Amino acid sequence: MITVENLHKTFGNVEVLKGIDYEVAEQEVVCVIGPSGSGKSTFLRCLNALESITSGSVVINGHTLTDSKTNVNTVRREVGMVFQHFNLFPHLRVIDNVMLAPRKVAGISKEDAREKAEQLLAKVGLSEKRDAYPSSLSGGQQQRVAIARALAMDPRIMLFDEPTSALDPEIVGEVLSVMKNLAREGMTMVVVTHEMGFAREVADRVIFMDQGVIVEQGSPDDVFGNPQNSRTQGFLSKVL
Amino acid sequence: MFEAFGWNDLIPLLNGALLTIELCLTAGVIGSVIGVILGVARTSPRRVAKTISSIYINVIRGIPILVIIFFIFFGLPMLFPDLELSKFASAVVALTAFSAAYVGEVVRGSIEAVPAGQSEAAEALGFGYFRKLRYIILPQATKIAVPPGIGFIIGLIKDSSLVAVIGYIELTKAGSVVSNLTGDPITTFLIVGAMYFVICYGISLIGRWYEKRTGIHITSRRLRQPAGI
Amino acid sequence: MALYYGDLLPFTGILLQGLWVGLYVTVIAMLAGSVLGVLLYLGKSGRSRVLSGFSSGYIEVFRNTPLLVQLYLIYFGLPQLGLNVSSIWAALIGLTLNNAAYTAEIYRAGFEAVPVGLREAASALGMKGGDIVRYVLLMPATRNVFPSLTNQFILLFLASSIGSIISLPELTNAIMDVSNTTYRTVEALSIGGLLYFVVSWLLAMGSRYTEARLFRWARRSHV
Repeated sequence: MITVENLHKTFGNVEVLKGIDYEVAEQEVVCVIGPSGSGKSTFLRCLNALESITSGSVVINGHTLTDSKTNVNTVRREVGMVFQHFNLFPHLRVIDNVMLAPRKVAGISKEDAREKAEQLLAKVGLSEKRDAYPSSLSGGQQQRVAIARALAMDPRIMLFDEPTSALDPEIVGEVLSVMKNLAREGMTMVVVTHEMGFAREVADRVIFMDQGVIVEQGSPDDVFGNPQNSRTQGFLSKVL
Repeated sequence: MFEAFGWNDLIPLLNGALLTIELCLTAGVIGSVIGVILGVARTSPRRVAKTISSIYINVIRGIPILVIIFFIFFGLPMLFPDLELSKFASAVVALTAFSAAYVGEVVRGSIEAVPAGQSEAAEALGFGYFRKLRYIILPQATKIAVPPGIGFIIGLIKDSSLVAVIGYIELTKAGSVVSNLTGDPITTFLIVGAMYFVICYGISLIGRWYEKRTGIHITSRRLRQPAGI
Repeated sequence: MALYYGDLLPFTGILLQGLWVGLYVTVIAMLAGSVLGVLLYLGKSGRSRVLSGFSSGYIEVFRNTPLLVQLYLIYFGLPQLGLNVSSIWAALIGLTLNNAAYTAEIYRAGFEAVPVGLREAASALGMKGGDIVRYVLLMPATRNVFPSLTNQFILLFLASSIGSIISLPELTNAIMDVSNTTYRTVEALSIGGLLYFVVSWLLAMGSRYTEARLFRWARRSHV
């Protein structure tokens, strides 16, 4: 579903991604781990063109991002993203947050959008908050709404950029369990995270990135249980 | 009837500019000193100090400077018949009174912008109120106060134009005089405007340089900074 | 010296009339200036370098020169070009042009303070630029500019007093008229000052109340 070839990304004169090659298959859950500054978020953001690609190629769900003829918005309708800081629209009620894109981007009718939004809010366990404003929700609740909002567009792929990093520890669980369900249902997911437990439990494959390159990758058991590279070992020993 | 605007007419204007600067320096410095005291009082835990400074600041900022100028120049001599204030003195008093209120707000905002944790840490270390202010809060507040402080200076220079109404011959009044002599208000006031612009814009560039250098800029909303005038 | 406020009683009408003119002029200048301010903001942040330069220049000139000089240029300068302009028109034009420069900057600050993440989230959902501005950015930006704009209104109201210097019949003008007629200078100035203070205080209270109601969804200050 996603094919990345020799992806390079430079900000100013700093090269943040130094040649990434990777493939994500359908229904695969890939977790990206690594220290700060390793480029993991940048890598993720390149996948839905939130960051422009300096060189290399990314083909996502059949669309070649580097091709100037590709309509970025079409790609984004099929790829959902969840941000570290939720980025809910503060002036809209929860249900309107979820309904906005389906109505304005996909042209879905108000009634259909509402029905779908209700379903999704139920799915993430927040039906009773439908008329609340984001400012009255806890971080975990906001993030779950954000997931519902992304799912409302019926994406084929979901990207998560450190979805639980901004949450209090006791709230992390509620968001992770929504993500686990999503994985179980067969969603293709790429998750940048520090939650090693989640990666171990849910990921099909784990990528360890450091200083702009993929240092090691494999199944969770391989990467966590038997890391080959010394940098991987170093990182894991500090976080586990 | 009129003498056309000539190079000679620049002299009274330049003179006016100098008097404007002199006026603003005097009122600005005295006003700032009082303003700092007001600002500190405004954030003081003592209710009396807080209330008095609050009343002063809010009243002065709630009435036009022009009214204050008129009050000092026309009103005071009626209240205190023995008092003789020169135009310069009246202008200074009025602008000082106004500056004190403005600076008071700037100082208040700056003190409040210093993270609360600083105050708590100082108290936990045993610092008394004034020592805390002196060694921990005010040094940090001062850095924060620079951008709005620059805004204050620019505002003061512009506001000083209003003392023209009491006949003090700063830049704007000089402009009026020259404009009447030459019958050419356009040239005269364009030059007057340009002189103000050079001074104010120059100072604002200093402010921008400071903001770039230190990365400090405070949203004007916090200080209810007068944007207009 | 004794104060005789009673002598002012017959003149309350004149003072209130002056207050009314002041408010009237302020409202018009605020509305017109806000619209012009939007144009300036769009010009300054737009793609055309000519427009951007012009807008920036306009804003800097009007913010770095005194309002009084601007008014003098209009009130005395235009007649020099053959255009006779009344006090009220000069005041309206001057206040509007001046106000526009400040509102433009208010818009800029307000828009820049909207978190980048909101735009990104909307982009990630596939929304197009125009829709993003309209449905996602506009309300938060409005929330940001509202307090500054209401503050600007109050300042404009106080600044309208400068119009008295070019004979605009607003409150300060009335105060001085009354003072000259009754010789009750201190009383006139203090009552007039009180009127200004009460109005600006009411405006400030009103704006805080409106802010709380209009932007219930906002937690604290900036979005």
